[in-house]
Amino acid sequence: MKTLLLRRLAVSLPTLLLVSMMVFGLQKLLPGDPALALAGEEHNPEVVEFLRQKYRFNDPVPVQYAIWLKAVIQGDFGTSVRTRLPIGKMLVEKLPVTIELATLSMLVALAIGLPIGIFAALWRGTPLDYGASMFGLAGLSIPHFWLGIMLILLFSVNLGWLPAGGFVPPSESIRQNLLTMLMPALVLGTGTAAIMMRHVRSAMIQAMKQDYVRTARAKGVREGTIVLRHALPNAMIPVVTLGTLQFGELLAGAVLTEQVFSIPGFGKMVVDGVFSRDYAVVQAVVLCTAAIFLLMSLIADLAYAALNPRLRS
Amino acid sequence: MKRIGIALAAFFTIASSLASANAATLRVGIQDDPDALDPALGGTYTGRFVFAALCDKLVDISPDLKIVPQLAESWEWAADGKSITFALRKNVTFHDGTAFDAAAVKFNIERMKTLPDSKRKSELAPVQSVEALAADKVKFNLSEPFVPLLANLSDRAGMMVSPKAAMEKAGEFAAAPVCAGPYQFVERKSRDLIRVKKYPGYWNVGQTGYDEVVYFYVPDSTVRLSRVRAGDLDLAERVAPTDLKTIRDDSNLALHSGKGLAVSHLMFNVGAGAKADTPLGKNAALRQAFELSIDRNVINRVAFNGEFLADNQMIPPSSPYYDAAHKAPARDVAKAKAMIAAAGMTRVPMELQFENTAGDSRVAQIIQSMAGEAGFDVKLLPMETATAIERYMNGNFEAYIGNWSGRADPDPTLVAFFSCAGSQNVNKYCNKDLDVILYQARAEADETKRKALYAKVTDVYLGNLSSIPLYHPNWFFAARKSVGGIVMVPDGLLRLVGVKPTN
Repeated sequence: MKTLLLRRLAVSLPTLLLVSMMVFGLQKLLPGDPALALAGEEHNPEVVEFLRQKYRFNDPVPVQYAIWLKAVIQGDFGTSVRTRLPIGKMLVEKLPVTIELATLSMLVALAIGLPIGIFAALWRGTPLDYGASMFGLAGLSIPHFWLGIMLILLFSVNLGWLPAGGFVPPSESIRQNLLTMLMPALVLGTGTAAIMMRHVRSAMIQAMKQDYVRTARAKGVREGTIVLRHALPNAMIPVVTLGTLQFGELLAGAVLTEQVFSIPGFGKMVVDGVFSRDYAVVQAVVLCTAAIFLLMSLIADLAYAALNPRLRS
Repeated sequence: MKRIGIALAAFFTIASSLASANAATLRVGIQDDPDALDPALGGTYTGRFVFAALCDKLVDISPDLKIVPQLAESWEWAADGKSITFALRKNVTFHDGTAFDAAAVKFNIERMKTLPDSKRKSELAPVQSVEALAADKVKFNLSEPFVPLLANLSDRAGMMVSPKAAMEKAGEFAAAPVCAGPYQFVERKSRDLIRVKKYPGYWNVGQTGYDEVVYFYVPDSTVRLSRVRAGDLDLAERVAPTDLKTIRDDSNLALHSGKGLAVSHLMFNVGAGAKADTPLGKNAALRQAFELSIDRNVINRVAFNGEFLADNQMIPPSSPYYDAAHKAPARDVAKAKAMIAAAGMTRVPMELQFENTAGDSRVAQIIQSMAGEAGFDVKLLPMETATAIERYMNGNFEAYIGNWSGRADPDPTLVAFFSCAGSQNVNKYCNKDLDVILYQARAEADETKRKALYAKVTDVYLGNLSSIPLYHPNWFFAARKSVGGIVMVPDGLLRLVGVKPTN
């Protein structure tokens, strides 16, 4: 286990470095002049030139990258050229929000996707299975943006039960925090639940065909025990892979959902960063997201080992 | 001892709940995350929107675009127009308690002029020096007579920040600005909210209606409106023209609308590089034909539900300098075709660039379809914003839909777009005679004479049509009925003095 951890960490660092280099380079390929975008409506040439000097837009890209990297290694993510706020502080503010939203969405996805997937597999070809398929199709094809606005109209505008958006930190009020997160988690969760449900269903169908299930049945083990003790853990391997990847995706930011519910997360931050050519912001968020993805895949590997003893050696 | 503790705790709980029952908060939804909160550096509309709570200016504009006192109580131009003396309001303090006086004004103007990345340099360019004559008297010496200075001082260039805070915090000032407005800065969570609280030392504190104002960043206009309808927000700025019916039909909401200063216009490259070498770029008659081929009212009706103002001038009709004599011509496809034929052509090709926003995209498509009927083959070229700006500044376009925020005075707009060296004259239109009139107008203190000069300017630019103005957007705020005292001003900023809960 320890060697696995160490090996993964050793691979992670160069991966992060590569990701940051690629993003840096790709950003520089974007058309548009960041100094012009920053200089305001008047575009005073003197100011534009000063900004180019100040943020070293004129330096060769590798030099700019080296300067950025050196600062990041020292823990300084720099300042947003647009808002003049420290990026490190922005990350610290956004990360918990993003993690909370991703976790709650994942819980919603598991709570819906897992049982429905299992039942659909056990009762294959029955109305329940078809119903589950329909749910899956709907969950995948309904745009988050639209679903979000519909939920706001129903629960906030018409019924007045839930706040229409925004973010209340749990330190201020846990109840308010959960109330504001409920709809966004539901919107993101249903999409993931649909994918989850499809995977659980097919993995369960596979697992239920295995020899050990037949053996267990022959031994007279109760059907419930067969499903939960024998088939499910084996069916979970692809689900874990999917779950961790989906979780990473949720952490990378759900732009549209964040926008609809005005949640201050990573998604819109990176999109706006690209549009305003706020390179340092984009770099910081991408680096953060890449680190999270690496962490998630590490967790997936550890989970495989926990689920399947054969992988432990 | 324990009992006293419990009693004390109970007392504080009650006291704090009483306090929170009385504490009134105004929650405002804004469309963009503001940029740097420093009047010298700020470049966004939402930044100005927040400054309206934080930073008072030397002068303000009224709904009918007159200059009115704010931190300066009165002012007097020198006879030669080359200096202006302000009498400052007394007993005004900044949010850090330091005094606002002539020395502070001098500091602020010099800061805006010398800070290397200050965006206020052009606005204050004619100011050569500032003299503190007395604690409450300050004189601006100008290099040339420059009447629009007052209008410039009614915006960020006239916002006064605490010299002490600006010097101490230097580079970090924008993260926690200190000004002299009705509300003082509390916190900013980037891309989330900006919180300000009532400044008890404000000179006009009797008109401060809320204890706290929170600006929430809610980018989507439908969502902004939904949150006001749900009672989550008290006010939303810039709701979409297509949502106005919803607001009018909702008995809990009030629609606040006002005429704006901004203008959207179709610029033709008439002199910048190779892209100027087009039939429309070279021939003013074809540009006139183009104007006749489109119907501004249709653009307004189809793209904006008829809620904006279709118009043919850069200056909005709300300005005292608007030229009512130059009406927009009615659409006349037959005449447009005849003019194209007179130029020896049947079909005229043209490439139209615009930012890929919903509004501009719709406008571009409507123009394409209308102009097509007269014989213009309009090719659409949507661009992402930063790319569009770069191409715009470099004159890398045949035609471009420009969106200009407008100014309280006609001078900055007309000089920027139509003088030979204008900062926005990226399509390189140049007419030396027009320059003479423009510079005469900025030195003319008499309003009637100045108006006559701008009528001449309008006549020239509408004749050449290096740019075809299309419409002026109006401002729409959706607010709960419980928010009273909102006054719409053409700059579209929510002034908080006098805004109070109605109950």
